[in-house]
Amino acid sequence: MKDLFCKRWKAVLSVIFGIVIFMICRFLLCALMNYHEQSHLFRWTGFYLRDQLSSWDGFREYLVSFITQFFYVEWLGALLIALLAVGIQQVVWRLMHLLGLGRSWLYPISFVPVALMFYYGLIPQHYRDNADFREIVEYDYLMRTHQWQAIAEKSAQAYPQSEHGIRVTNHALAIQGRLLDEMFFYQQTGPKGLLADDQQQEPLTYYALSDIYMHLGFINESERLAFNAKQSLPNHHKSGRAFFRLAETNIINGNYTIAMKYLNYLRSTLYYGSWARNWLEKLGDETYTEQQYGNVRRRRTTQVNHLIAPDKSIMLTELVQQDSTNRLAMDYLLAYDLLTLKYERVLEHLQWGEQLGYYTQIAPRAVQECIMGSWLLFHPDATELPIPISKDVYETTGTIMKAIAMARDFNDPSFNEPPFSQSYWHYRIMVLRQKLSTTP
Amino acid sequence: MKQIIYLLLGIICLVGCNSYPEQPIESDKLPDIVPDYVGVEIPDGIAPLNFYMADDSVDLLDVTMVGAKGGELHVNGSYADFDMEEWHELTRQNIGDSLVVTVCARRDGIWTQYRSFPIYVSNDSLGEWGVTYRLIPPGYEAWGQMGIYQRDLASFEQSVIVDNRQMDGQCVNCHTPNRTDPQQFTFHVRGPHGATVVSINGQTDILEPQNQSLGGGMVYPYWHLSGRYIAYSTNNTHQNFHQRSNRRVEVYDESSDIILYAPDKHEILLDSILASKDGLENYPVFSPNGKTLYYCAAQRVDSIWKNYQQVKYNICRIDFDPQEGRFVGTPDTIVHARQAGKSANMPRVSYDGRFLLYTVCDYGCFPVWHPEADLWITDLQSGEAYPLTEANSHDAESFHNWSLNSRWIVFTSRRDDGLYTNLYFAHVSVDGKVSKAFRLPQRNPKEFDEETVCSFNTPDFASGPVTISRQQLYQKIMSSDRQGHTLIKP
Repeated sequence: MKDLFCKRWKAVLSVIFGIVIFMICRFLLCALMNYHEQSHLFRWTGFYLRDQLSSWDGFREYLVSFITQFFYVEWLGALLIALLAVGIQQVVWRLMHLLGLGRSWLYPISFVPVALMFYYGLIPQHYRDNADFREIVEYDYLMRTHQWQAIAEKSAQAYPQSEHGIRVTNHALAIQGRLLDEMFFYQQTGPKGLLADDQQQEPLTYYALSDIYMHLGFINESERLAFNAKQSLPNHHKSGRAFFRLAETNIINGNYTIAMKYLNYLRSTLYYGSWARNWLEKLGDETYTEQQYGNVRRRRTTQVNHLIAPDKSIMLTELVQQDSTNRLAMDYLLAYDLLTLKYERVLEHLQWGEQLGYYTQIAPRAVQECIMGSWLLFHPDATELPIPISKDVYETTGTIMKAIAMARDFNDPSFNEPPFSQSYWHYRIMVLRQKLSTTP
Repeated sequence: MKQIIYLLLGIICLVGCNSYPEQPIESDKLPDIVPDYVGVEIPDGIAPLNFYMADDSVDLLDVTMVGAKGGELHVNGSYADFDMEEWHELTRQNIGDSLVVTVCARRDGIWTQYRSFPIYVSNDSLGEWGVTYRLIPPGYEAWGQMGIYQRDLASFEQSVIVDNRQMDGQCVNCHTPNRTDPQQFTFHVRGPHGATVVSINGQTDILEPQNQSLGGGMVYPYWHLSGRYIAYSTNNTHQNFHQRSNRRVEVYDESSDIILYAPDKHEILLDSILASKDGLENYPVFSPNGKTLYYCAAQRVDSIWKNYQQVKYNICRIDFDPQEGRFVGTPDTIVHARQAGKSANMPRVSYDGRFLLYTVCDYGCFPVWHPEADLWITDLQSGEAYPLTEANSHDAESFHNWSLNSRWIVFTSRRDDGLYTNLYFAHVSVDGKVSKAFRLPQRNPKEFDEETVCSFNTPDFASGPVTISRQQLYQKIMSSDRQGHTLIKP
């Protein structure tokens, strides 16, 4: 073995290099690989080739898109990058030979160019330098791959710093039915950390927003945000993920002619192609569409002329009215009420949820905290609370409300410590602090 | 060696030679071709009307086109791709008559011959070099790449007038020439280097995009024939989005007025008649003799995001004194759309002064997102108003313009897929009869339909190509120098 290593140490070194690159791409940079994949769309058509080659940088773009399409399959993308890296290293070594630098002790030098290419080519500067952007990329990857538990665990390890991270965490918890219990275990930034629809967003966040709206049943909003994602890509690239969503939303809404346009666009791609070709055959087959998207279709509101309301509570209410089995929308409605500090709505929507068969055992933790605390603000007696409160919430909320009643300064650091820091009332104090700091 | 050459020639022949219909099954149906050119009327000199079959299972087409006055074309391939010179020769030969088109399509090796159909070659020429338009993804808030382009209508050649990639991706819109003259045009740039560009015979002014005193950006322009004035609307525009239904976007104005800009004096006239407090004035258009201004007008409503369906526009007109550059008298309503529960927009008077062309929809001033939007004409001699039944479709017809000889119109339509607007052309006879519209020809229409993810916007005819230096224009726009103006309130 030792002899083999001595004789073949250069080959072994290259193999180890390849394995390291593979492991880095597969496990450390899988979110970044996902980001690259969804920011390019390679199509196996003559038109695409001609179109790309018509610009001066087109050939490089064509090659990059060709490679990134394989990132759709994580291990394959990692393997391809590893093989490319080893291949380039070998070419460099051959060149060194040709230049008379082929001495064995110089062999490690042949790794330097490809290592630099890997670092600067695959990892964009804003990813290397910007922690917020890294967080957005990582949460977006987990969101796209529906790793709800991984999102919850990631947030528990380090609270998300970006509004996007908070929004994705909220959604992952909502999907798992944990949102209303755990949403104040980490810092909330307000209703936009739950649902946002304005254009003041980091373009990458459009994808996750589109997913959230899709899951809830806001199909038109999901389409809008996917379209924005498509149009916000750097260098006017196309995105398979965005086209896929646009095709989906148009199938759901019955706009088959437009869906066909997007499906035609995708059918010549490697990884979206079979899905697109299948749908091109099935377009108009209502039985098949019902099987695939029947649940989503039923979630849509039937209010045909309603525009996006500034108050998302109205829209979420319509969703629950339309489909009372839409538990996700019900949870979002209550979470939205909590984040907009609407006590009456929390109480009203809790009762509505109970009538629909939700929260029948006991109200979710954040709702209990809100209702009990708000009650205590105006009623000294905690014996006539409007809803049953669990022992744990009763004790912590009682402690918190006493401290609030006696507080002279809400900037006191003790408000950032447990039990405050993991309570609805911490969020409420944060909002109050923000108001006070912006009021002249 | 010889055998190898013969073998190769044989293979080339087998691969290269097309099959031709032999004893096809005759069908009494018309062929389902895309674009739909069945029975359309075209001007001599238009680019070849290439087409393909809507049915994907067709693998080969065989098309014969016979001129009633003589001449014949024959093509065979995956789509009908006519030779440019032969096409022009055939249409020239058949002015005032028709071309009879016979389509045979092959599916699974079996040929079907469809009922022949005519394409009429009009006696009226187009009289224009081409068209200008904007290409933009028909989206919401983010647009990415867009630009203003020009297209030679006798061929498939498209070229750039401005490309937003050269201007930090800013929005460009509303390119408007003076009576199709490429030497006089205006357009807007929205963004950090926003501007209104006015170019007259090579002299280009870059104006501020908006002025607080005007209450909004300069938006929809129209030139006075003298070139001494440009009327603009100034709009405080918002957009919102439908939660459900195929109406995706709703665009509405919270306020809008009309101003008059005099490029030679750099003066802006803000007349209270066209800037009323409770009214919305929009889409100004001069009559061809320059003595009248047509425009749309509606009453403002409160909480417009809720009551947007109550805003309905009439088309009005007011006299204009070109010598003094002043509006005279009181406005007169020409199209009472509101009484009919409708909204009339985008008036355009034919250059012979005979017809008023406009878009009618259920409400509002942005019909491109309204599937019910149709084109209408009011005969300004008789007062008769009617929809362009032959040219309209089930989906939105919106922005439009006349050719200088007043015999052709160009307009945008969403009829093809309900989202991506295309350019359509229709003939208007001297007595106002409108033909079936035909789509802007493309070299390979199937590839165009599958690959293009942009909409055509704000088209107008062009008597020649715009030849301004793009680099100089980009530099001027990207600089901070902006032409000031004097505001006049009579």
